[in-house]
Order: sequence, then structure tokens, then C-alpha cells
Amino acid sequence: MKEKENNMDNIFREKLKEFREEPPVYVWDNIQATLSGQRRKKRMVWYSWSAVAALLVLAFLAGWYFNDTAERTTPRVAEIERVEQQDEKAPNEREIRVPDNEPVVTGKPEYDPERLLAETTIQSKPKTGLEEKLPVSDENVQEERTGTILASAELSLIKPIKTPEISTKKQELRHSLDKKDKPSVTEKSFTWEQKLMDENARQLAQTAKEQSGWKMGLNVSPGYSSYAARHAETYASNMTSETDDGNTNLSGGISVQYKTGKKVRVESGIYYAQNGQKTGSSPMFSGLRAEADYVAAPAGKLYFNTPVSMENNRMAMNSTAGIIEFKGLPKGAEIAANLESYGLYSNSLMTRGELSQVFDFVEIPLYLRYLLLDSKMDVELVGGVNAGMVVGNNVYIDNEYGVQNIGKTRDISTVNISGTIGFGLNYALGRNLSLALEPRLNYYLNSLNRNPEVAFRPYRVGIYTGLYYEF
Amino acid sequence: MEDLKNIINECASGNARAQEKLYRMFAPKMFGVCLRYAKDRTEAEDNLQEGFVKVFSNIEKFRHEGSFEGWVRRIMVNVSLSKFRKQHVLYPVEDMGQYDSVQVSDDILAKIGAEDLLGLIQQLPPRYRMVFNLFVMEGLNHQEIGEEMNISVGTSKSNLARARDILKRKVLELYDEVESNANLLA
Repeated sequence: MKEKENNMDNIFREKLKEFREEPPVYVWDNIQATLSGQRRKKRMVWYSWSAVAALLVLAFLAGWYFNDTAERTTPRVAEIERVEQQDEKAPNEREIRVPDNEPVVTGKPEYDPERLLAETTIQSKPKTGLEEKLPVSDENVQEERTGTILASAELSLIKPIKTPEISTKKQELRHSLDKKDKPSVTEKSFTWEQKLMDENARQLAQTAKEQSGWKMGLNVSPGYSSYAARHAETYASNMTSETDDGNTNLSGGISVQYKTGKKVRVESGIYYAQNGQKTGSSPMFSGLRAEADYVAAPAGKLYFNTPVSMENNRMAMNSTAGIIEFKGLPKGAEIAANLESYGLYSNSLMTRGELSQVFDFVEIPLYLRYLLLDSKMDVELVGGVNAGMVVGNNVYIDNEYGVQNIGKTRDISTVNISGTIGFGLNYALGRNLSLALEPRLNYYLNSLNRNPEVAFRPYRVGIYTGLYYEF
Repeated sequence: MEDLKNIINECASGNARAQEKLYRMFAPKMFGVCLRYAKDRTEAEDNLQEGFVKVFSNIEKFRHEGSFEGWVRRIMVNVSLSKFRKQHVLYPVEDMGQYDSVQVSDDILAKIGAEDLLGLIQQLPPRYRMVFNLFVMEGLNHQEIGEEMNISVGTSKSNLARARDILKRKVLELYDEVESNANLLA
């Protein structure tokens, strides 16, 4: 019986082993077409990713440019006002104030003191229009405006391109999900086979997952940044420390992951992030400090009254993140001499508004990702370190004259190290694409400030949302 | 053989002429393989096409260890298997039934042409066809077949028995009469 079956098997095997038949011609044509299609597709994927990368770089540069113009223009405004403290004797101010409408082509870098004086007198009166505030040189104003327009034009260019691309991808994916969903409804009736099928599907997905070693991601995150700080006593006695607050901001970047083990991935990339702090002020007046000529801040408005040092014609102020070097006196601010000696500083800066110290970082991460849960929705533990380069260091005051860039924080070290820990939730949208949601905490391990009297370590919490592409 | 190695290397660097040469060398035999695993010619053609696309897009991974034909054949079998898995995942019936075996003399079998045998295999229910092919033609054991197809060893065994049984019945049905007639005439 057994032998009989073996004989039958043998006959089949012998007869069919060498069996050959010429396939129809169109099979080869189809193969060729598919192969050249694949090549084109590969190229397309490459193109689209480089396009995304280029857009990102462009957006980054635009941001930088935007920042830069803000930095360049504001000092002029401040410089004019600082003259307030000089003697006031302006003989023919009215005549000089004329160039409001016509462009000035003199191109003189130094400002005419007389004109500045003219400006100061106006300064002391309350003003409304922005046009009046900047009679300095229309040429400069022009330049500043075109700069802003250019930057905003770039931004408007970038936005419409970015959004449709992402949304169409999502739509496509939704279609493919729909398709998969439908047959599974009919499969439901074979409940006793469900386990087997699930296992099949899981294994299939598994093999697909294991094929890829590389993953590329694109992330953006709204974030909240705050800080941990310690200050030496003398420093603190002159410091503004009224109501401290965190900063909300946006960060993002591109990342690359490489699979090194069954559950472990190494990630690097480049991220842009902002950290900072805000200092509002309390409506309380310290008796030791200068009393302002405005009696009290209007209810609900923040009021700022902080000692500043005036040395070598430069103004500096102790703040949470370090000493702020002013470019000049901010608009809408007053300097007054302290009545009694309060701390070491003899003057006080008074203004309504809120002070914020903002640092822009380019961060290069080195993260390890550990897969905790492997399913349609992967859960990963993310942790590692970042090299954070400070590329922007600005101090702003936000008062009734708008947001003004007023200077820099002193002694900020360029390269810093931060630690990151977070969770990654990864939802597979297709074979190669997945949607990620990653709450992360980023904490600076060293003080950003080199000044031994200040230890300022910012941290930020953000929920990174992005797309990952496996290849 | 050195020639084949050259062609393979050329294919790996994307040379279209080499790809065509390679296809011409192996297509007839591989079409034979695909035909055995498929229910009809159309399905076999599809599998052959998909298999060769896989061959060309993975050819740079071929390490020149072992036979190239075996490698290509393995790809064809895998394509056929994965198509089977996609299509027939719904009906993996646990089949432990015993069947009354019928007897067919080897003489009759030996006289049937290859093409007709192929036709018989194609008519088998999909899963019996897969198991029969993997066991008889690829020489896999029941353990391996079970792993490939996600079925138990017992199911694989009974599927094979059932496949043989159906084949025998078909042979008897189609050829026994002819055979006995021939005997009468002789």
C-alpha cells in the first residue's frame, strides 16, 4: 500500500519534473513593463523625499531670515529713545521732523542729534500710529518692510505646498484602509478560523516590518518650555523674579532611524526647537525701588519694575536665564533712579508688559527606541541625548508698543547637552507609512549660562506628531 | 556555467538584455512549475510574471551558493504559496477522515502523458493541490508543509492522502475504461 503510493508519487514526479512549456509572449512584456515601472517609482519616491527635505530647509532659512531682520531693525528704535536722558535743547525741531513722507537719501550712518532730540519730545507724548514712531530714516524703514514682505511671501509659498501634500497622502491611505476593512467583515462569519487568520496576517505584517532597516520621519510639535534655575544670592537680589512663566512654541525636524536589533532602533536627525522663559511683573511696588510716575499698573496688566545697571553707557539687567544686555531702552519704558540703594544697581527699568528670553536651538539627537508593544499600534520607549546648538538668543518685551527685540542674554554657551525621554505611539497607515504621536520631555543637563552665578536649565514638553516612512 | 554567472551579474546591474536572456533560459521550466501549483493557465501566467519580477528585483541578493535554478524555483513556489494563502485562508478544514482507497495499477499511470497528469493535478481542490505538490514535487515533509501552509501535520497528512485518492479515482474514471477496452481488443 505504502509502496503503491510511493510508486504513484514517483510516476508523477518523473513525468512532471522535466516538464516545460513555453509561456505566452505577453508574460515577458508584462515583466519588462513592471520592472521599468518599479525603477520609475523608486525615483519618484526619492524625488518626493528630497522635495520635502528641501521645503524643510527653505522653511528653516525663512525662519532664520525673519528672525534676523527683526534683530537688525529694532535697535534703531531703541537707540533714539535712549537720548531721552541728555539735555534737551532743540532749536529747530519742527523743520527737521519733515522727512516723514519723502525718502531721505543722505545715507548718514550717524544720527543727527538734533533730529533725535526732536524725536524724543514726541516720544514723551503718547502716540498711536507706527508711521510716526519711525521718522529715523525712511530708507531703513523701506528696507525693513521689504524684508518682512519677502519673508512672509516665502512663508505663504511654503504653507500651501506643504498641507495638500500631507492631506492627499492621508486620503490615499484612508482609501487603502477602507479596502482592507470590507473583506474582513465577511470573514467574521468564520469565527473559528479567526485566530488562524489573525496569526497569518500578523506574520505577514511581521515579515514586511522586518525587511526594512531604515525609517525616516518628519515631525512637528507644539511645546511648552519652562526651566529649572538657581541663582547666587547677590545676583538674585537684583533679579527680576516676579511672575515667572513658561513659553509656548513650535518645534520640529527630520529624523532617521536604523534598526539594530529585533526591538531596538537608533535614531538621529536634526530638530529645531525653542526654549525660554517669560517674566511678567506683579503690580506690587517694592518700596525700595523707584516709584514710577505712573501710579499703578491698570488692573490685570503686568507691570515691570526691575533694577538695572548702567555701566559704560550700557544697560544690563539680571534675569532668570542670565544677564540681559540691552541694545537700548525699549519703547514705552522708563528709567528712573532708585530712591534708596536697592541691591547694587542704582536704576530701575519700568514698563508695562512681559519680558521673554528665547533661545533657538538646532538639536542633533541620538536616541534609542525600544519596542514595548508590537501590533498595529506600536508602542516604543524613546530616550537619549541631544547636542543642542544655540542659534538664536533674543530677549523680547511685549508691551503696548508690540513685541520688541531688546537685546541678548549674556554668557550663553553655544553647545549644550540635553536629555530626552518619551513614548512613541506608532500607527501603521500602510506597508511603509506610519503615523506617530510622541510625547517627549527634553531637559537640559548643563546650565545654558556660563556665568557661575546663574544655573539655568530649560526643559520642554511637546507632543511630536509626524509621519514615518520605512524603506 | 560561467556564462550563467555573468548573465546573473549583468541582471543585477539592471541590464535589460541580460534579463531577457535569463528569462528565455528559465521561463519554460518555471512555467511548468507554476502550472502545477495553479488551477489554470491564467493563474500560472500571473504567478510566473510575479515570480520573475521578484527574481529580477532580488537577483543581487543571490550569493552564487547552490543552484540558481533551485533559487528561482523556490521563488516561484513561494509566489504560488502566498497567492494560495491570500485566496484560501478561509477554508483550512481540519480533515482527518479516512477514505477507502482505490487501487490503480502503475501500468495505467505510466501510460498517461505528462500534460494529462498536469491537468489532473490542476483539477485538485486548491489545498490538496498545494500539499501534493509540496510533498511529491518539492520533497518537503509534513512538518515543513505544515509550517509553510499554517496547517497541522495531521491535516497535511490527510490532505495528501485525499489528494492521492482523488487522483486515483480520476485516473480510473478517465483511463481505466480505455485500458480495459484495449485489453479486450488485444
